[in-house]
Amino acid sequence: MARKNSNREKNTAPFPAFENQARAPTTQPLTPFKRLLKRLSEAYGPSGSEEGVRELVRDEIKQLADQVRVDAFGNLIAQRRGSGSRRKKIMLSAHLDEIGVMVSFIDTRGYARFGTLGAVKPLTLLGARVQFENGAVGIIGRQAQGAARTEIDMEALFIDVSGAPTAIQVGDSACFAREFLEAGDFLIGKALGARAGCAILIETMRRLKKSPHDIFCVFTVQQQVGARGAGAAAFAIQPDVAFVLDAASASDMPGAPAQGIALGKGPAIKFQDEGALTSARAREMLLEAARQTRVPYQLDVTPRAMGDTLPIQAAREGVPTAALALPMRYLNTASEMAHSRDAQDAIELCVMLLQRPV
Amino acid sequence: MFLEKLSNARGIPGDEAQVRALIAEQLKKTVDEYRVDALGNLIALKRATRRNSSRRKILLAAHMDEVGLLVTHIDRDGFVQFDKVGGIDDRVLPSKAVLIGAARVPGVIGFKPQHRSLEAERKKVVAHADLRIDIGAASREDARRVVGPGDSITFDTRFSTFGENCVRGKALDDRAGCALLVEVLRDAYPFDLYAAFTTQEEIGLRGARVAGYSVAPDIALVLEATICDDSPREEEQSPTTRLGAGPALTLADRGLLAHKTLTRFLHETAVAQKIPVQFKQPLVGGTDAGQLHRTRAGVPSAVISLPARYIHSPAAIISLDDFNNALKLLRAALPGLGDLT
Amino acid sequence: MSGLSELLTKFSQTHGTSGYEDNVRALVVREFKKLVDEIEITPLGSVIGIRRARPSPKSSRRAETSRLLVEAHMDEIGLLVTGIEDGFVRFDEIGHFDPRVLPSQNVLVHGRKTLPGVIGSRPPHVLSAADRKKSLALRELFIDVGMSDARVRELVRVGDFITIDRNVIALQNDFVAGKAFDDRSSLVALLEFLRLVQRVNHAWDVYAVANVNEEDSATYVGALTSTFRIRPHMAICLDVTHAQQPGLHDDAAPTTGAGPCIARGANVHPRVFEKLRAAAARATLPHQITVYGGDTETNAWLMQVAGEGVPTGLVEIPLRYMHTSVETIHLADVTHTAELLGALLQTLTADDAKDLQGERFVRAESKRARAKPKRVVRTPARGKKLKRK
Repeated sequence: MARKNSNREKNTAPFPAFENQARAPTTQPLTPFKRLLKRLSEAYGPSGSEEGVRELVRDEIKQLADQVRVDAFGNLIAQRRGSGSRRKKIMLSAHLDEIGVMVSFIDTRGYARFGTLGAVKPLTLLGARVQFENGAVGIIGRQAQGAARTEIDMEALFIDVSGAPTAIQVGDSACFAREFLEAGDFLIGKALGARAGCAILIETMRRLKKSPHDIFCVFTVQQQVGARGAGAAAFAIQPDVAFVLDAASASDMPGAPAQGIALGKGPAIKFQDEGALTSARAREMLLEAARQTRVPYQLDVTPRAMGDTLPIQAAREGVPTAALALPMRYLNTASEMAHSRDAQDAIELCVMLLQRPV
Repeated sequence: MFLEKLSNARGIPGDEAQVRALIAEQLKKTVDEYRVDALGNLIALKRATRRNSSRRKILLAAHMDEVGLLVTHIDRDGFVQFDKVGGIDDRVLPSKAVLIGAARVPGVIGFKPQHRSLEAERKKVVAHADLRIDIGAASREDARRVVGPGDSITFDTRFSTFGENCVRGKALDDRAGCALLVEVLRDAYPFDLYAAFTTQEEIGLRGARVAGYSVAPDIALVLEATICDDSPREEEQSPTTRLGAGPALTLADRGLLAHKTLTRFLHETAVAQKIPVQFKQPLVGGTDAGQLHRTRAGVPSAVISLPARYIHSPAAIISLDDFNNALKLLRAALPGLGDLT
Repeated sequence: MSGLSELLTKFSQTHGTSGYEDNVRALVVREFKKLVDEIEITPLGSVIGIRRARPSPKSSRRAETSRLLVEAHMDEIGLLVTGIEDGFVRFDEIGHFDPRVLPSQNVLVHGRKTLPGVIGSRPPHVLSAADRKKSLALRELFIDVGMSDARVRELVRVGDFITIDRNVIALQNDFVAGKAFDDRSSLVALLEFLRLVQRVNHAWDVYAVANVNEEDSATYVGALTSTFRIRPHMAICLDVTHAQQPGLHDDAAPTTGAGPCIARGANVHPRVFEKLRAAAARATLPHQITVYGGDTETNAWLMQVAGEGVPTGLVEIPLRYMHTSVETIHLADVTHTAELLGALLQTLTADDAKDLQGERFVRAESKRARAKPKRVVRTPARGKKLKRK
């Protein structure tokens, strides 16, 4: 929220403070898809402040759709008309927003207290750098809680913006400041769970030459704070079937249960999402597309996480909705990690999904 | 003062009829139409004044319900068991006076004497399920003559003026908002103004959900009474809002990321008109806007609140200066909403 | 009661958890076909059976026939396969079980074939005294289907559903026990109600709905969307409620066998409550009253706020041992629920829908203004949608 903000200049460069330090470990130039992913991952866009990342996406898709609009909620909706005689309305959605923090109080010394936007955990915040929309960077500090304390209360944390004390106000939001990295086959970055879904959706639109169906690609807002935007889009579109592109927590790491999904074994077809069981009919369409493309896939029954499935399913008379997820390690930290082949497989699967008659 | 009548009226979630009747009587003089829907919402329409006015539908909402209690069962001995309706802190319940049902049967919430309480007990909060209301009945049969399961219970608090230009009363959350909205409806505006006096806000924003759906507004503005935590403390902390510092605007709460253009416009209007205004601490509390902004394909929404100390207790305190400033702000800002871009 | 008991047995012993209602849906459609004029399936899979009004010849005609929605949910709680380890099946839950009722429970794993299984746990002999006192968590349990790892992997896949394997047990005095009486006993009451009204006149259309997805996550998405579709003038939710039972120290709880419970509270429209109570009194049916401060934890919670809002009522069958495999009810409560609905439908006249609508007020000048033919004034540019900036 900008108020009396004439002194605040909007800086669109992603990392003013760290620009010169950011260096990818590989010297290979990134592929176009990874370049897109890098830009999306590094873009600023906590829930409620998705304008910047939305513009990035809009630039990518405006040539790929018959119509592009932003609704009252802030969702970006791209529509492509189909050619089939028995065409269906298919909605694909990915969410633009990432988790973040919002300044709730600034004390007399300039330290900022904050509330959280989405599933931010105190452990992952300690020592983190966070960036504001205007480019200001803060460090998350922790007040003394007594020597014996091992767990961290969110209330004990604050943002130190000593570097630019006048740059922030109550109500300003910040997200992690972290550069995107390619490490072998792995992709690492903040907000990767959210933005990989967007990148997969953009790339699907690019590769999809022809479809019998009317296709609505929706880039939703305010997902992390309770999946608020997706329902509004589904209400307006009234799709026959919908698919949510998202991330799923992988468990191929120490201390995680033996079952569960792994990186590099293909995208995951989800059985459940926060408050919702995905619809069998829509799930079957994903499975059929996977079988036809012969891409590997995994079945994901891991515990539920916030997702856009429920509000879409609950729109009007009900919309059969399934979810396709990119397996992801360290979700909701500054270093979310995915496998690049899984992303490619997901794109191939989505293209097939949209080409097939229903 | 109309607020006094509203504050003293009975209206827990699901039983807002008395409050609704009071408001409806006022509206007959000021609005073009109103109706009551399946949830008990009172939805009024005040048509645009002049030709060539905005085609926008603007919805103002305030909730009629208050937090309260509900009779669930009568003991064999004639004591009344109750449930809470809406978020009440169990700690404020002991030794309070209440009124039960339409007949306003007086009762008191009893408490075990401290002389008979063990040291360990005294540190514990007594859950509402272990408290009983004493109406002086001799037996269950005797009690059933005047009260029964399903009767609503409200705190027995008389509205009064208080301190320097403040008022004290129960249910100021959100009868203060209702009173503001009734005032706003006296004026005319260059757009169709819908007013929703909503029900069941305290148990999940339920009235607003259907009111928003049926009105299908282009902009929604919620008038509320909100948390005010400005008592002295050791550590430097947000007071959430400050009493007497003007109406509070919401940037974000637990159910809403407020519409930026709309909220900025309200703030700029206040500053331009030299009306005191404050921002409420972000991400605390929630209002009907949490549902309204998610209505249909989405509705740009904002919230204007009055700071209210001791909210959700038998008696809250609000400042009449804040009330009057909120009214001034609404009168100054509303005409501009028809063509705000 | 033997017909009723048979029907209840058939419904209880049909298997279908939230999200996996296919078997139950097929059964509902078969039963509805005998009793309704039209059947519709919603996009999410709820079944709507429509019995059109049969107005008595004397009654006045109306442009729109009022719609009474009566619903029960057809899903049951169950389990979901999460993995296979050395031929044992690991699982998560759909809806909520108390994990303490699961050990040694017979189940059916619905894979490529339906496999009988038993929920196993480690024998107490090998456990420490301290461990024996602890209840088992869901992730410590597994299902044994008595097959090799390879055979299990052939037949069972992650995402398959699992239900309790339990035949209905007839107890003394018309009490019966079984699984999924929550909410198949209501579904049977709904069918019984449809059977009762076959030969009578009624002024309202009846929309009988078997909803999907009640048990999962308390989002009531099946009931919300089917109610939105029907836009009823009155809706009645049928569900079960906790009755008095050993160990439950709640004086306010209803008693099994003492009649259906008519709920009141914010979730229930006051006039729907009154109509139900009056119908019960007129037909001299046993009934009880339950009181809810807020959430009734039933489909009614979202049915009431579907679309523009729906006058909603809630009728509950008292039940002991909820969400176990031995849910216990009294058959008379099912019959009386059906009779209560029949009595309600009989009382509904064409004007009753209007009675459920609240007060309306239109200013006199305003009426005149609206009577005049409206001149359409195109307003340029002003009043466009306010975009999110």
